[in-house]
Amino acid sequence: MISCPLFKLLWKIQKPFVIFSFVFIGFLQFLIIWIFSTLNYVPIFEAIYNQVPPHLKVLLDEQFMYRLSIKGAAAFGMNHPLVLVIMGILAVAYSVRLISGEAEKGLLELLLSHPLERNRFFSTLFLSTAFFLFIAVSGALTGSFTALMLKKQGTAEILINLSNIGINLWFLFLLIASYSLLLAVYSKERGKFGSAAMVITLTFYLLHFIGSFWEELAFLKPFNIFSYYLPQKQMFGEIQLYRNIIPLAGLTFSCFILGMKRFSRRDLP
Amino acid sequence: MSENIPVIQVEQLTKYYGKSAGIDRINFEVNRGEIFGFLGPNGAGKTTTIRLLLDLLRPSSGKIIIFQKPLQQNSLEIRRRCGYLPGDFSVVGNMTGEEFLGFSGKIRGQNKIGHDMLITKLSLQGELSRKIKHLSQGTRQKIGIIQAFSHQPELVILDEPTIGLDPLVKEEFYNFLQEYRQQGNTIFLSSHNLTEVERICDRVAIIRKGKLVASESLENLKKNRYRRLSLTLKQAVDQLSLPGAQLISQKDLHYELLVKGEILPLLRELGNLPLEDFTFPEPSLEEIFLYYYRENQND
Repeated sequence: MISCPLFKLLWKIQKPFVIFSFVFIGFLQFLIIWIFSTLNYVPIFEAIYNQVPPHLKVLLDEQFMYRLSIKGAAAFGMNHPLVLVIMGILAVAYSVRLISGEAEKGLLELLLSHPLERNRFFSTLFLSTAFFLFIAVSGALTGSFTALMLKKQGTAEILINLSNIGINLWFLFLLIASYSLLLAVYSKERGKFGSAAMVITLTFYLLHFIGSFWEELAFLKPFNIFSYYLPQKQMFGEIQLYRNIIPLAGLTFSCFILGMKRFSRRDLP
Repeated sequence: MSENIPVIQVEQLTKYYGKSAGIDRINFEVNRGEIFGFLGPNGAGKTTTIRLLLDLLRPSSGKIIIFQKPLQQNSLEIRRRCGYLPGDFSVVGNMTGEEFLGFSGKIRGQNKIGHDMLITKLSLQGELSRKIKHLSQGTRQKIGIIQAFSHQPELVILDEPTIGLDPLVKEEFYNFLQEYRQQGNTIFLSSHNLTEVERICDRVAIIRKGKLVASESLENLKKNRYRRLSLTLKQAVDQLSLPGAQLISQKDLHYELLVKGEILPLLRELGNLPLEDFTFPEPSLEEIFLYYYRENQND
């Protein structure tokens, strides 16, 4: 299923960025919760919040600090655009580059001239990406938990819900990684499909963002991957984890199997 | 020495990229204990053939049999017994040479790192602990060579192996290849360096626009089919036209030609020329190679 030497090689190559992700996301989470629990800017936010039109309130509730509480701030951190961008780079950039990147084509050729099954190579690539994403999510949780504990706000409910959000975030980016790999193995022109995966992900995100206050786009929600990651609602117990995990995991598995089948048959590099 | 036991058998091998043929119905055999040179300019189909031999590309039609087993059904086992040095040996990231060789060995199920004798021959001591990205192209190439040979493969496929190596190291490497071949191992060598091929290969194949235009021993290629003709005339002629001969170069009244086919009509024609002197030295591989290309360009 997995090649340990290849896993170690991928870790060696990716280690600097994975460690950066862990530290950066962790620090960001820490900062958000620390600032929110230290400064009293609820009245300022409330003043702004009360003035915005109702449909924008829906957007703010869904995406940002729901009910302007510490719980909302913790959930907001897990949905911060910077977190999503870093997770996106981890999910898309390297795994896709290794299969379809111009600079890495020599490495791919060399690796597959070794006695390494293509399915094993593909699974290792996917599982290592899953591991790197897990480390990044762990960074987010570590930063949040540390800030919450230091500020003595870490109730069991918040910690459990935050962990569930972390798991949900991980599954969301596993799906992004799996469809990026799927696109990469179908690519004929190197490099372009990494960008295509990024564009698709960004389109999903923007549609999700716009769809939360533009009713005409509401019909797209079930087809949007970001509809299966709503940290604010999850933090306040309005959505169960399995409701999001099942479709995300199902799609991830399908993309992974399709990608692996195609990779075992296609010409390389 | 060559034992006439085929290690690579390629039959009617064709690879299409869309509608254009990368290689078209090529046939050749490489025997055990042989150094087989594979020649052709960029885009002729050398890399496509190598990638097909490594099961990186899948043929559109035709057969590849390695170690007397069909490649696709036995890909893993065959690759275990093969070594490969790609044309553009590159390793991304922060690996040292030692780490990369360790990785390569572990994938092959080996614990021993590198190939001590080769490390000494290639003067690579002390370089393996440095990061590959900080090494010169020549040193990187040496690491590539070691990873290709470190597991003592029965068949080694080398794509331009001596790029970036200095002349002394090249010499050591050629000697190593000869020794390695004498142990009963087989080497498939693709190269642009005709002197190199001429120096170390037993047989060569020449590929042009995806088609094999020659595949035989260097000795046969030189002696039986081609002759070089150097002639000096006493006075200029309007046009030098000799049957079966192609002009390679001319300097004043001195002409260098490559001759193919029957020699008698040529000798008769030579008698009609104001000859000062003529010789038939053995042609170099480069001249033969150019002959094939010029000949085919005229097709």
